Amino acid sequence: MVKIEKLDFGYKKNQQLFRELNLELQSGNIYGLFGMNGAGKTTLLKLMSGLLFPKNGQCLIFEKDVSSRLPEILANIYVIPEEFVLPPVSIKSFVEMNAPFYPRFDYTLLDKYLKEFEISNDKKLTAYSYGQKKKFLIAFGLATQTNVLLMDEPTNGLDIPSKSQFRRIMAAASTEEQCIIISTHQVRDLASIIDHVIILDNGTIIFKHNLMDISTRLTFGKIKDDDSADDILYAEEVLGGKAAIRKNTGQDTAVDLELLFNGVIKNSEIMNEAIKS
Amino acid sequence: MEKINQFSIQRLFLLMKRHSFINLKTWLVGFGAISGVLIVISLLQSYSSGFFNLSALSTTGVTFIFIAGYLITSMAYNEIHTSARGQFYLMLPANTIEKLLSNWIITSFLYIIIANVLLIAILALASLLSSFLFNTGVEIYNPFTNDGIRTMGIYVVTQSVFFLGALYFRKNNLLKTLLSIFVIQMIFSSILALAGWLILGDFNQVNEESLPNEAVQFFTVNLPDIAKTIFWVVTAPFFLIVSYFKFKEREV
Repeated sequence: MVKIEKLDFGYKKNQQLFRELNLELQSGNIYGLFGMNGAGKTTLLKLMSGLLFPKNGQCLIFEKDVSSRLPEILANIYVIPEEFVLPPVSIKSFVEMNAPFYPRFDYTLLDKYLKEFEISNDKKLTAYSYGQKKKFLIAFGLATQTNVLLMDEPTNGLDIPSKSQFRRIMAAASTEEQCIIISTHQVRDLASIIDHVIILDNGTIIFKHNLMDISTRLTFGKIKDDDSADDILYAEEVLGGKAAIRKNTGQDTAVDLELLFNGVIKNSEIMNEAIKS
Repeated sequence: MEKINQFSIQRLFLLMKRHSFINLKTWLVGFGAISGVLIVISLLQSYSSGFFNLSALSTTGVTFIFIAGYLITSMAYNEIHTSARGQFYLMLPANTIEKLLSNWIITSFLYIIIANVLLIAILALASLLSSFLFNTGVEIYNPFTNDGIRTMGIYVVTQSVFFLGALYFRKNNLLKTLLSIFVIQMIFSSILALAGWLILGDFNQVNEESLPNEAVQFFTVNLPDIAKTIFWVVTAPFFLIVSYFKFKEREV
């Protein structure tokens, strides 16, 4: 559904961020795009949505180049940016102005999500807090029912109950026709909803696996301080001991995304090999 | 799927509605201010001269309409000049021509017609007030004469320059567009003067008798005709086409 082919991009001529980047994403999945600050997550989302143009290569959605900005492509992508300014209009007016552009927009769904997010419909958008505005945008984005939904740090600015609401809504809202890409550095917020992990470092995709493969091949848990078994792929100090990633020898554990992320950033080759083997 | 990419009147109207809705408050404040100033000027003029000078007031009104129109045009693309706002507009499922035309129609044709209708109402109100306060006659302004329509045409053509300026410059579009016009005009005039000097020599020695008939014909008939054609036929389409490509390559 989303295909990036030999993409080169840099904000300055002599500073390439992406060089010959390739990536393929399928419908029916929720991808978690992780990376440290400045890794290129937001830039990659902007390239995927056609808000930035690659220097070389292309990004295709349904085999069409997104940089052409054809209505057919735009009607199939919705971006929920991290930083945004909404117009000083009411929710009703915003929906009236923007929803008709999306052929599959579902007004009932929007009402349902707004209720779940506890967003009232009686104020101008500028009067809401950042978190409330973000929840409104998430609800609007889901109601557009576009095939590709790009979310940049969607949980930033959400309070703790809102993060749970977000996870609940996302788990229920995604469909087989949709490809959802959530970029974040708050890995713990999304552990329960994503099914693929993509890790970006210095403009390169250093890790891309589905959660099933990860949990089949790796185990996550605490080890003793003096434990130095051969199957330990990565270990780090945590409160009360050490947390480690080991090769799975038949014991299934929940994937600790934060630990996995740190392990991949430390040595992606070891992690990739452990999953492939 | 292909049909959705074709030009859609429905989407054009939706974009126009969206643009008007977002900017309506600014426009109303502007029109309110202009109306107030015009009424005050008309009353002061009637008081001092003892008659309602429709001709002078309509000229002032049209000048205000032009200035306000260039201002509104310069603000037409404010939304895309900041990443935090522009991404929503750029991602709206409509093609580049629809997005360009919607803004252009609003700030050119629609604006000049609505502004003239409002000017009729303001001057009628001013005339009534003046008649009531100072016993002057009541006169109604009619912009839909040949001259009036030609003036509207001049606005539509010159506005296209500011339309490109609104897309091209991120900040202070109006001032930067005016500065660009001034610089281009200076360069153009200098080139023309230099060419004239090289061809004709000392300007003080040149008169109709010293020039061949063909040259006189060219400078007095052909050249003004060419200039008129360029102004009325080429200017607006040229700036709109450049605006189209500028908008098409816009990134956040």
